[in-house]
Amino acid sequence: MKTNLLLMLSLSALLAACSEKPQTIADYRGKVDNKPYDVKFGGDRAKWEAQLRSRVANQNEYRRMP
Amino acid sequence: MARMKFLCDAERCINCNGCVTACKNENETPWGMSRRHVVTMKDGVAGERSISVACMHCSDAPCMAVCPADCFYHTEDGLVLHDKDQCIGCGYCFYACPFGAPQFPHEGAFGVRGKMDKCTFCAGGPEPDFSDEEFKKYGRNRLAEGKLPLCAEMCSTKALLGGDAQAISDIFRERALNRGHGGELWGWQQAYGSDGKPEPGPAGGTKK
Repeated sequence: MKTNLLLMLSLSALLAACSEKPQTIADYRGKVDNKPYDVKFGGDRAKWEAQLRSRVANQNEYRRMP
Repeated sequence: MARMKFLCDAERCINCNGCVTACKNENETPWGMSRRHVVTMKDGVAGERSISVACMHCSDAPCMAVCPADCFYHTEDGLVLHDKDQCIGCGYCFYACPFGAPQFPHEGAFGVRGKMDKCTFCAGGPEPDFSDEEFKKYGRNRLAEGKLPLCAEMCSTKALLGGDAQAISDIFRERALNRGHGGELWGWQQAYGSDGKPEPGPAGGTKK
């Protein structure tokens, strides 16, 4: 029990620095932009990402050509 | 999907300027302005290399840091975009940018600076997606259509890659493995020589 608790605490302490700090600037004073997947993809980010992944794959001719 | 980036393979770029033309046509940028440039090193001598350069959508963007009007913002995909209505055309971003990405229209007899214009990764701007206003100010929003920047997608030799940084790095790595060299991309050694001294230019003088 004690070992588990210790393990959990140490893991949470270790992984605490694994997050990425947000790079959005706080003092941006312009208009708010909508997300690129809001209009055509109905807000479905996963669908938009899948579409982009297939477009990226088209840039690799080793995979594109037989 | 984390971070959108461009990657130009100097081993493949043939200085055709197709990316420049495609960008200009797609975004209908005015005369005298180009969001993308092809830069050639060692022009006309052995070892000549060209790379296509535009906004690199820096993670810690200097343009954003120096802008007195705070008109820049980062999208959640790492793109550096700006609000032209907020831009005052001061030109600080042009001085701060190491890639010469910010462009200014030269309107009027005295070359008065207008609103800054730069590569948007074909992602438009803060106006509503697909609106006329967005197109007039920022050009086409291909990203919202599920497409990548046209410069990269139409590159005939696939020297210019665009998209998720991890995905295009994987493409480049596979390419470098297949050809057995070129993993170094372009950089200090190709620009300045292996001994750290500039290599002789075409006219015999040193090339800076």
